[in-house]
Amino acid sequence: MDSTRRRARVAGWLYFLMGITAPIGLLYVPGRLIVSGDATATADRIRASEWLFRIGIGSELFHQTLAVFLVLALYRLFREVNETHAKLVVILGALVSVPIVFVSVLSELAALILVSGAGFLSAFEKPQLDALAYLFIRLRGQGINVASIFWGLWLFPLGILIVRSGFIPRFFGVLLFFAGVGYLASAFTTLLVPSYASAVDQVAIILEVGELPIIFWLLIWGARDQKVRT
Amino acid sequence: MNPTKSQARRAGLVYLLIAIVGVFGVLYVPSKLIVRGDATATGARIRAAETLFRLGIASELVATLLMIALVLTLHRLFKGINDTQSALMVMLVLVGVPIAFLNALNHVAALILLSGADFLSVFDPRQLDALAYMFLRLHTQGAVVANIFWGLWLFPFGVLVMRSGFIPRILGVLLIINCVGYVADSCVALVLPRFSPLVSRITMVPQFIGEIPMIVWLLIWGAKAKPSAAGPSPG
Repeated sequence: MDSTRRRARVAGWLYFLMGITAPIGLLYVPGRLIVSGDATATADRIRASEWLFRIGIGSELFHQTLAVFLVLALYRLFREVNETHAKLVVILGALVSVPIVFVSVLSELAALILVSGAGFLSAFEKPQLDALAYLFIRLRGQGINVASIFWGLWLFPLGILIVRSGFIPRFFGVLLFFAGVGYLASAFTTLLVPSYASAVDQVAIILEVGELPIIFWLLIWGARDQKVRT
Repeated sequence: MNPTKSQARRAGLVYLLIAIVGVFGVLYVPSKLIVRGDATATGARIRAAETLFRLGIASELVATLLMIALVLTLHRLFKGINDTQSALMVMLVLVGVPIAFLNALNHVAALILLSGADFLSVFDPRQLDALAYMFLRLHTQGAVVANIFWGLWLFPFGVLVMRSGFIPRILGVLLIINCVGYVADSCVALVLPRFSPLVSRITMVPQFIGEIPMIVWLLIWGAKAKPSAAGPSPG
Protein backbone atom coordinates (compact mmCIF):
# COMPACT_ATOMS: atom_id res chain seq x y z
CA MET A 1 0.00 0.00 0.00
CA ASP A 2 2.94 2.29 0.71
CA SER A 3 4.14 2.15 -2.87
CA THR A 4 0.59 2.82 -4.10
CA ARG A 5 0.51 5.99 -2.02
CA ARG A 6 3.90 7.02 -3.31
CA ARG A 7 2.72 6.49 -6.89
CA ALA A 8 -0.45 8.45 -6.16
CA ARG A 9 1.67 11.29 -4.82
CA VAL A 10 3.88 11.37 -7.93
CA ALA A 11 0.84 11.32 -10.22
CA GLY A 12 -0.87 13.98 -8.10
CA TRP A 13 2.07 16.36 -8.29
CA LEU A 14 2.46 15.92 -12.05
CA TYR A 15 -1.28 16.44 -12.56
CA PHE A 16 -1.20 19.48 -10.28
CA LEU A 17 1.74 21.03 -12.16
CA MET A 18 -0.13 20.50 -15.42
CA GLY A 19 -3.25 22.00 -13.91
CA ILE A 20 -1.51 25.22 -12.91
CA THR A 21 0.56 25.71 -16.08
CA ALA A 22 -2.03 24.74 -18.69
CA PRO A 23 -4.34 27.76 -18.17
CA ILE A 24 -1.46 30.17 -18.91
CA GLY A 25 -1.12 29.04 -22.52
CA LEU A 26 -4.72 27.93 -23.07
CA LEU A 27 -6.65 30.78 -21.45
CA TYR A 28 -4.61 33.67 -20.07
CA VAL A 29 -2.27 34.46 -22.99
CA PRO A 30 -4.90 34.11 -25.75
CA GLY A 31 -7.25 36.21 -23.62
CA ARG A 32 -4.68 38.98 -23.41
CA LEU A 33 -3.42 38.91 -27.01
CA ILE A 34 -6.17 37.71 -29.33
CA VAL A 35 -8.74 40.29 -30.40
CA SER A 36 -11.52 38.19 -31.87
CA GLY A 37 -12.06 38.92 -35.56
CA ASP A 38 -9.47 41.73 -35.66
CA ALA A 39 -6.25 40.58 -37.33
CA THR A 40 -4.48 43.94 -37.12
CA ALA A 41 -5.18 44.48 -33.43
CA THR A 42 -4.15 40.88 -32.67
CA ALA A 43 -0.90 41.20 -34.62
CA ASP A 44 -0.12 44.54 -32.94
CA ARG A 45 -0.64 43.02 -29.51
CA ILE A 46 1.57 40.03 -30.33
CA ARG A 47 4.29 42.34 -31.64
CA ALA A 48 4.06 44.47 -28.51
CA SER A 49 4.10 41.49 -26.11
CA GLU A 50 6.10 38.89 -27.98
CA TRP A 51 7.52 37.66 -24.65
CA LEU A 52 4.01 36.94 -23.33
CA PHE A 53 3.12 35.10 -26.53
CA ARG A 54 6.29 33.03 -26.18
CA ILE A 55 5.49 32.27 -22.52
CA GLY A 56 2.15 30.92 -23.73
CA ILE A 57 4.00 28.67 -26.18
CA GLY A 58 6.39 27.58 -23.44
CA SER A 59 3.54 26.75 -21.07
CA GLU A 60 1.77 24.63 -23.70
CA LEU A 61 4.91 22.65 -24.50
CA PHE A 62 5.71 22.28 -20.80
CA HIS A 63 2.35 20.93 -19.66
CA GLN A 64 2.10 18.62 -22.65
CA THR A 65 5.56 17.22 -21.89
CA LEU A 66 4.41 16.67 -18.32
CA ALA A 67 1.45 14.72 -19.72
CA VAL A 68 3.84 12.01 -20.93
CA PHE A 69 5.23 11.62 -17.41
CA LEU A 70 1.75 11.85 -15.85
CA VAL A 71 0.23 9.01 -17.91
CA LEU A 72 3.18 6.81 -17.06
CA ALA A 73 2.73 7.61 -13.36
CA LEU A 74 -0.99 6.80 -13.65
CA TYR A 75 -0.16 3.60 -15.52
CA ARG A 76 2.05 2.51 -12.64
CA LEU A 77 -0.63 3.47 -10.12
CA PHE A 78 -3.45 1.57 -11.86
CA ARG A 79 -1.66 -1.23 -13.70
CA GLU A 80 -2.83 -3.82 -11.22
CA VAL A 81 -6.46 -2.62 -11.40
CA ASN A 82 -6.80 -3.24 -15.12
CA GLU A 83 -3.87 -3.42 -17.50
CA THR A 84 -5.94 -2.69 -20.63
CA HIS A 85 -7.52 0.47 -19.28
CA ALA A 86 -4.20 1.61 -17.85
CA LYS A 87 -2.69 1.26 -21.32
CA LEU A 88 -5.60 3.21 -22.81
CA VAL A 89 -4.84 6.03 -20.38
CA VAL A 90 -1.27 6.13 -21.73
CA ILE A 91 -2.34 6.01 -25.38
CA LEU A 92 -5.27 8.44 -25.27
CA GLY A 93 -3.84 10.66 -22.55
CA ALA A 94 -0.47 11.38 -24.14
CA LEU A 95 0.83 9.29 -27.01
CA VAL A 96 -1.78 10.54 -29.47
CA SER A 97 -2.69 13.93 -28.07
CA VAL A 98 0.72 15.39 -27.19
CA PRO A 99 1.97 15.44 -30.81
CA ILE A 100 -1.28 17.14 -31.89
CA VAL A 101 -0.74 19.96 -29.39
CA PHE A 102 2.95 20.26 -30.25
CA VAL A 103 2.07 20.63 -33.92
CA SER A 104 -0.61 23.20 -33.03
CA VAL A 105 2.09 25.23 -31.32
CA LEU A 106 3.80 25.36 -34.71
CA SER A 107 0.86 27.45 -35.94
CA GLU A 108 1.66 29.99 -33.23
CA LEU A 109 5.30 30.00 -34.33
CA ALA A 110 4.10 30.58 -37.91
CA ALA A 111 2.12 33.60 -36.69
CA LEU A 112 5.25 34.88 -34.92
CA ILE A 113 7.29 34.61 -38.13
CA LEU A 114 4.59 36.47 -40.07
CA VAL A 115 4.39 39.38 -37.61
CA SER A 116 8.20 39.49 -37.17
CA GLY A 117 8.70 42.07 -39.91
CA ALA A 118 11.49 39.96 -41.43
CA GLY A 119 12.88 41.36 -44.66
CA PHE A 120 11.82 38.44 -46.86
CA LEU A 121 8.16 39.22 -46.08
CA SER A 122 8.29 42.61 -47.81
CA ALA A 123 6.53 41.08 -50.84
CA PHE A 124 3.35 41.35 -48.74
CA GLU A 125 1.61 44.38 -47.31
CA LYS A 126 1.25 44.61 -43.55
CA PRO A 127 -2.54 43.95 -43.52
CA GLN A 128 -1.93 40.82 -45.57
CA LEU A 129 0.73 39.57 -43.16
CA ASP A 130 -1.53 40.35 -40.19
CA ALA A 131 -4.37 38.43 -41.86
CA LEU A 132 -2.11 35.43 -42.55
CA ALA A 133 -0.88 35.51 -38.96
CA TYR A 134 -4.46 35.61 -37.74
CA LEU A 135 -5.27 32.62 -39.96
CA PHE A 136 -2.54 30.65 -38.16
CA ILE A 137 -3.84 31.84 -34.77
CA ARG A 138 -7.30 30.57 -35.73
CA LEU A 139 -5.79 27.32 -36.99
CA ARG A 140 -4.01 26.90 -33.67
CA GLY A 141 -7.32 27.33 -31.84
CA GLN A 142 -8.87 24.63 -34.01
CA GLY A 143 -5.81 22.41 -33.41
CA ILE A 144 -6.32 22.69 -29.66
CA ASN A 145 -9.99 21.90 -30.20
CA VAL A 146 -9.10 18.74 -32.13
CA ALA A 147 -6.61 17.73 -29.42
CA SER A 148 -9.25 18.24 -26.73
CA ILE A 149 -11.16 15.26 -28.17
CA PHE A 150 -8.40 13.20 -26.59
CA TRP A 151 -8.37 15.32 -23.44
CA GLY A 152 -11.96 14.11 -23.04
CA LEU A 153 -11.50 10.52 -24.21
CA TRP A 154 -8.65 9.59 -21.84
CA LEU A 155 -10.80 10.50 -18.83
CA PHE A 156 -13.11 7.53 -19.50
CA PRO A 157 -10.54 4.75 -18.95
CA LEU A 158 -9.09 6.81 -16.09
CA GLY A 159 -12.56 7.11 -14.55
CA ILE A 160 -13.16 3.36 -14.90
CA LEU A 161 -9.83 2.64 -13.22
CA ILE A 162 -10.69 4.93 -10.31
CA VAL A 163 -14.17 3.40 -9.91
CA ARG A 164 -12.66 -0.11 -9.88
CA SER A 165 -9.53 0.75 -7.90
CA GLY A 166 -10.94 0.13 -4.45
CA PHE A 167 -8.63 2.74 -2.93
CA ILE A 168 -10.15 5.90 -4.44
CA PRO A 169 -13.78 6.86 -3.74
CA ARG A 170 -15.87 5.92 -6.81
CA PHE A 171 -17.37 9.39 -6.89
CA PHE A 172 -14.09 10.85 -8.23
CA GLY A 173 -14.23 8.46 -11.16
CA VAL A 174 -17.82 9.40 -11.95
CA LEU A 175 -16.84 13.07 -11.98
CA LEU A 176 -14.26 12.25 -14.65
CA PHE A 177 -16.96 10.73 -16.87
CA PHE A 178 -18.84 14.02 -16.71
CA ALA A 179 -15.65 15.97 -17.44
CA GLY A 180 -14.97 13.69 -20.40
CA VAL A 181 -18.45 14.34 -21.78
CA GLY A 182 -17.81 18.06 -21.31
CA TYR A 183 -14.61 18.01 -23.38
CA LEU A 184 -16.20 15.93 -26.14
CA ALA A 185 -19.37 18.05 -26.29
CA SER A 186 -17.30 21.21 -26.50
CA ALA A 187 -14.96 19.84 -29.17
CA PHE A 188 -17.68 18.46 -31.43
CA THR A 189 -19.91 21.49 -31.07
CA THR A 190 -17.02 23.72 -32.15
CA LEU A 191 -16.41 21.46 -35.15
CA LEU A 192 -19.97 20.76 -36.24
CA VAL A 193 -22.21 23.64 -35.09
CA PRO A 194 -19.79 26.45 -34.21
CA SER A 195 -22.62 28.95 -33.67
CA TYR A 196 -23.59 27.01 -30.50
CA ALA A 197 -20.03 26.62 -29.30
CA SER A 198 -20.03 29.42 -26.73
CA ALA A 199 -23.35 28.28 -25.25
CA VAL A 200 -22.20 24.66 -24.94
CA ASP A 201 -18.84 25.77 -23.56
CA GLN A 202 -20.54 27.44 -20.62
CA VAL A 203 -22.00 24.10 -19.55
CA ALA A 204 -18.94 22.10 -20.61
CA ILE A 205 -16.60 24.14 -18.43
CA ILE A 206 -18.66 23.24 -15.36
CA LEU A 207 -18.37 19.55 -16.25
CA GLU A 208 -14.65 19.93 -16.97
CA VAL A 209 -14.09 21.22 -13.44
CA GLY A 210 -14.82 17.60 -12.42
CA GLU A 211 -11.24 16.86 -13.38
CA LEU A 212 -9.89 18.94 -10.46
CA PRO A 213 -11.01 16.95 -7.34
CA ILE A 214 -9.02 13.84 -8.27
CA ILE A 215 -5.84 15.94 -8.50
CA PHE A 216 -6.23 17.08 -4.91
CA TRP A 217 -7.34 13.64 -3.74
CA LEU A 218 -4.17 12.08 -5.20
CA LEU A 219 -2.01 14.77 -3.59
CA ILE A 220 -3.64 14.58 -0.15
CA TRP A 221 -4.02 10.79 0.05
CA GLY A 222 -0.54 10.33 -1.36
CA ALA A 223 0.99 12.85 1.06
CA ARG A 224 -0.58 11.30 4.16
CA ASP A 225 1.76 8.35 3.82
CA GLN A 226 4.77 10.64 3.82
CA LYS A 227 3.76 12.19 7.15
CA VAL A 228 3.19 8.83 8.80
CA ARG A 229 6.56 7.54 7.70
CA THR A 230 8.73 10.52 8.57
CA MET B 1 25.29 -12.40 -22.88
CA ASN B 2 25.39 -13.03 -26.61
CA PRO B 3 21.84 -11.94 -27.42
CA THR B 4 22.60 -8.69 -25.56
CA LYS B 5 25.65 -8.14 -27.69
CA SER B 6 23.82 -8.80 -30.92
CA GLN B 7 21.12 -6.32 -29.86
CA ALA B 8 23.79 -3.78 -28.96
CA ARG B 9 25.30 -4.25 -32.41
CA ARG B 10 21.93 -3.82 -34.07
CA ALA B 11 21.20 -0.71 -31.99
CA GLY B 12 24.62 0.70 -32.84
CA LEU B 13 24.10 0.14 -36.58
CA VAL B 14 20.63 1.72 -36.59
CA TYR B 15 21.92 4.63 -34.49
CA LEU B 16 24.82 5.18 -36.91
CA LEU B 17 22.41 5.10 -39.84
CA ILE B 18 20.21 7.70 -38.15
CA ALA B 19 23.23 9.92 -37.62
CA ILE B 20 24.32 9.65 -41.27
CA VAL B 21 20.83 10.10 -42.75
CA GLY B 22 20.11 12.88 -40.25
CA VAL B 23 23.26 14.85 -41.09
CA PHE B 24 22.35 14.62 -44.79
CA GLY B 25 18.80 15.92 -44.25
CA VAL B 26 19.41 18.38 -41.43
CA LEU B 27 22.80 19.86 -42.42
CA TYR B 28 23.81 19.02 -45.99
CA VAL B 29 20.59 19.67 -47.94
CA PRO B 30 19.72 22.99 -46.22
CA SER B 31 23.31 24.19 -46.62
CA LYS B 32 23.02 23.65 -50.39
CA LEU B 33 19.54 25.13 -50.85
CA ILE B 34 18.74 27.76 -48.23
CA VAL B 35 20.09 31.26 -48.68
CA ARG B 36 19.58 32.89 -45.30
CA GLY B 37 17.11 35.75 -45.39
CA ASP B 38 16.76 35.65 -49.18
CA ALA B 39 13.44 34.12 -50.21
CA THR B 40 13.91 34.63 -53.94
CA ALA B 41 17.36 33.04 -54.10
CA THR B 42 16.21 30.15 -51.92
CA GLY B 43 13.14 29.62 -54.10
CA ALA B 44 15.30 29.58 -57.23
CA ARG B 45 17.72 27.05 -55.76
CA ILE B 46 14.95 24.68 -54.65
CA ARG B 47 13.26 24.89 -58.05
CA ALA B 48 16.61 24.08 -59.67
CA ALA B 49 17.37 21.16 -57.35
CA GLU B 50 13.95 19.79 -56.51
CA THR B 51 15.22 16.20 -56.29
CA LEU B 52 17.83 17.15 -53.69
CA PHE B 53 15.14 18.94 -51.69
CA ARG B 54 12.87 15.89 -51.90
CA LEU B 55 15.77 13.66 -50.80
CA GLY B 56 16.07 15.93 -47.77
CA ILE B 57 12.39 15.37 -46.94
CA ALA B 58 12.76 11.61 -47.43
CA SER B 59 15.88 11.47 -45.27
CA GLU B 60 14.06 13.25 -42.46
CA LEU B 61 11.21 10.72 -42.63
CA VAL B 62 13.58 7.74 -42.82
CA ALA B 63 15.68 8.97 -39.88
CA THR B 64 12.49 9.39 -37.86
CA LEU B 65 11.26 5.90 -38.75
CA LEU B 66 14.64 4.48 -37.77
CA MET B 67 14.21 6.14 -34.36
CA ILE B 68 11.31 3.74 -33.75
CA ALA B 69 13.49 0.77 -34.68
CA LEU B 70 16.31 2.09 -32.48
CA VAL B 71 14.21 2.65 -29.38
CA LEU B 72 12.54 -0.77 -29.69
CA THR B 73 15.96 -2.43 -30.02
CA LEU B 74 17.20 -0.51 -26.97
CA HIS B 75 14.02 -1.50 -25.12
CA ARG B 76 14.98 -5.15 -25.68
CA LEU B 77 18.63 -4.53 -24.89
CA PHE B 78 17.71 -3.05 -21.49
CA LYS B 79 14.99 -5.59 -20.70
CA GLY B 80 14.79 -6.31 -16.98
CA ILE B 81 16.87 -3.32 -15.90
CA ASN B 82 14.07 -0.86 -15.16
CA ASP B 83 10.63 -1.21 -16.72
CA THR B 84 9.53 2.34 -15.95
CA GLN B 85 12.61 4.03 -17.42
CA SER B 86 12.42 1.70 -20.41
CA ALA B 87 8.75 2.52 -21.02
CA LEU B 88 9.43 6.23 -20.60
CA MET B 89 12.24 6.04 -23.17
CA VAL B 90 9.93 4.39 -25.72
CA MET B 91 7.08 6.83 -25.04
CA LEU B 92 9.23 9.94 -25.43
CA VAL B 93 10.43 8.72 -28.82
CA LEU B 94 6.94 7.68 -29.96
CA VAL B 95 5.61 11.16 -29.15
CA GLY B 96 8.40 12.78 -31.15
CA VAL B 97 7.75 10.76 -34.31
CA PRO B 98 4.42 12.32 -35.42
CA ILE B 99 5.77 15.80 -34.70
CA ALA B 100 8.72 15.20 -37.00
CA PHE B 101 6.48 13.68 -39.68
CA LEU B 102 4.02 16.58 -39.66
CA ASN B 103 6.94 18.98 -39.63
CA ALA B 104 8.08 17.45 -42.94
CA LEU B 105 4.78 18.76 -44.35
CA ASN B 106 6.17 22.28 -44.00
CA HIS B 107 8.79 21.37 -46.58
CA VAL B 108 6.09 19.87 -48.79
CA ALA B 109 4.09 23.12 -48.47
CA ALA B 110 7.16 25.06 -49.64
CA LEU B 111 7.47 22.73 -52.64
CA ILE B 112 3.83 23.27 -53.61
CA LEU B 113 4.24 27.05 -53.34
CA LEU B 114 7.36 26.94 -55.53
CA SER B 115 5.83 24.53 -58.05
CA GLY B 116 4.43 27.23 -60.32
CA ALA B 117 1.03 25.52 -60.30
CA ASP B 118 -1.75 27.42 -62.06
CA PHE B 119 -3.95 27.88 -59.00
CA LEU B 120 -1.17 29.99 -57.44
CA SER B 121 -1.17 32.56 -60.24
CA VAL B 122 -3.22 35.00 -58.10
CA PHE B 123 -0.01 35.64 -56.15
CA ASP B 124 3.10 37.47 -57.36
CA PRO B 125 6.19 35.25 -57.78
CA ARG B 126 7.85 37.27 -54.98
CA GLN B 127 4.94 36.55 -52.66
CA LEU B 128 5.08 32.82 -53.43
CA ASP B 129 8.82 32.78 -52.72
CA ALA B 130 8.19 34.61 -49.44
CA LEU B 131 5.45 32.17 -48.40
CA ALA B 132 7.66 29.22 -49.31
CA TYR B 133 10.49 30.72 -47.27
CA MET B 134 8.07 31.22 -44.38
CA PHE B 135 7.34 27.48 -44.43
CA LEU B 136 11.07 26.71 -44.51
CA ARG B 137 11.50 28.91 -41.43
CA LEU B 138 8.53 27.16 -39.84
CA HIS B 139 10.19 23.82 -40.54
CA THR B 140 13.24 24.99 -38.60
CA GLN B 141 10.97 25.98 -35.71
CA GLY B 142 9.27 22.59 -35.95
CA ALA B 143 12.65 20.90 -35.63
CA VAL B 144 13.30 22.97 -32.50
CA VAL B 145 9.98 21.78 -31.05
CA ALA B 146 10.60 18.13 -32.00
CA ASN B 147 14.10 18.35 -30.49
CA ILE B 148 12.51 18.61 -27.06
CA PHE B 149 11.64 14.91 -27.39
CA TRP B 150 14.83 13.98 -29.28
CA GLY B 151 16.54 15.35 -26.20
CA LEU B 152 14.23 14.10 -23.46
CA TRP B 153 14.40 10.43 -24.42
CA LEU B 154 18.15 10.52 -23.76
CA PHE B 155 17.43 10.94 -20.04
CA PRO B 156 15.83 7.52 -19.43
CA PHE B 157 18.29 6.11 -21.98
CA GLY B 158 21.17 7.50 -19.90
CA VAL B 159 19.67 6.18 -16.66
CA LEU B 160 19.32 2.72 -18.22
CA VAL B 161 22.92 2.82 -19.45
CA MET B 162 24.13 3.74 -15.95
CA ARG B 163 22.15 0.93 -14.33
CA SER B 164 22.82 -1.65 -17.05
CA GLY B 165 26.06 -2.95 -15.61
CA PHE B 166 27.41 -3.76 -19.07
CA ILE B 167 27.89 -0.24 -20.46
CA PRO B 168 30.37 2.19 -18.86
CA ARG B 169 28.46 4.53 -16.54
CA ILE B 170 30.19 7.59 -17.96
CA LEU B 171 28.39 7.06 -21.29
CA GLY B 172 25.08 7.30 -19.44
CA VAL B 173 26.17 10.50 -17.73
CA LEU B 174 27.12 11.96 -21.10
CA LEU B 175 23.69 11.07 -22.51
CA ILE B 176 21.99 12.86 -19.63
CA ILE B 177 24.16 15.94 -20.17
CA ASN B 178 23.27 15.71 -23.85
CA CYS B 179 19.57 15.58 -22.91
CA VAL B 180 19.92 18.78 -20.88
CA GLY B 181 21.72 20.38 -23.83
CA TYR B 182 18.98 19.58 -26.33
CA VAL B 183 16.15 20.66 -24.04
CA ALA B 184 17.91 23.87 -22.98
CA ASP B 185 18.61 24.68 -26.61
CA SER B 186 14.96 24.26 -27.60
CA CYS B 187 13.53 26.10 -24.58
CA VAL B 188 15.79 29.10 -25.09
CA ALA B 189 15.12 29.20 -28.85
CA LEU B 190 11.35 29.20 -28.22
CA VAL B 191 11.00 31.42 -25.16
CA LEU B 192 14.14 33.61 -25.16
CA PRO B 193 15.28 33.61 -28.82
CA ARG B 194 17.61 36.54 -28.15
CA PHE B 195 19.95 34.26 -26.18
CA SER B 196 19.62 31.36 -28.59
CA PRO B 197 22.93 31.82 -30.50
CA LEU B 198 24.83 32.04 -27.21
CA VAL B 199 23.21 28.96 -25.68
CA SER B 200 23.58 26.96 -28.91
CA ARG B 201 27.32 27.56 -28.80
CA ILE B 202 27.45 26.02 -25.30
CA THR B 203 25.06 23.13 -25.96
CA MET B 204 26.86 22.11 -29.17
CA VAL B 205 29.57 20.50 -27.03
CA PRO B 206 27.39 17.89 -25.25
CA GLN B 207 25.78 17.02 -28.57
CA PHE B 208 29.14 15.82 -29.81
CA ILE B 209 30.30 14.07 -26.65
CA GLY B 210 26.92 12.46 -25.83
CA GLU B 211 25.39 10.40 -28.58
CA ILE B 212 28.46 9.79 -30.76
CA PRO B 213 30.51 7.92 -28.09
CA MET B 214 27.38 5.86 -27.37
CA ILE B 215 27.07 4.86 -31.04
CA VAL B 216 30.77 3.97 -31.23
CA TRP B 217 30.61 1.96 -28.02
CA LEU B 218 27.53 0.00 -29.11
CA LEU B 219 29.16 -0.85 -32.43
CA ILE B 220 32.53 -1.89 -30.97
CA TRP B 221 31.21 -3.80 -27.96
CA GLY B 222 28.46 -5.41 -30.04
CA ALA B 223 30.93 -6.36 -32.77
CA LYS B 224 33.12 -8.18 -30.27
CA ALA B 225 30.35 -10.72 -29.79
CA LYS B 226 31.25 -12.95 -32.70
CA PRO B 227 34.97 -13.54 -32.17
CA SER B 228 34.62 -14.05 -28.40
CA ALA B 229 31.59 -16.32 -28.66
CA ALA B 230 32.83 -19.84 -28.01
CA GLY B 231 29.47 -21.58 -28.01
CA PRO B 232 26.68 -21.46 -30.59
CA SER B 233 25.81 -17.84 -31.25
CA PRO B 234 22.17 -16.93 -31.76
CA GLY B 235 23.53 -13.94 -33.74
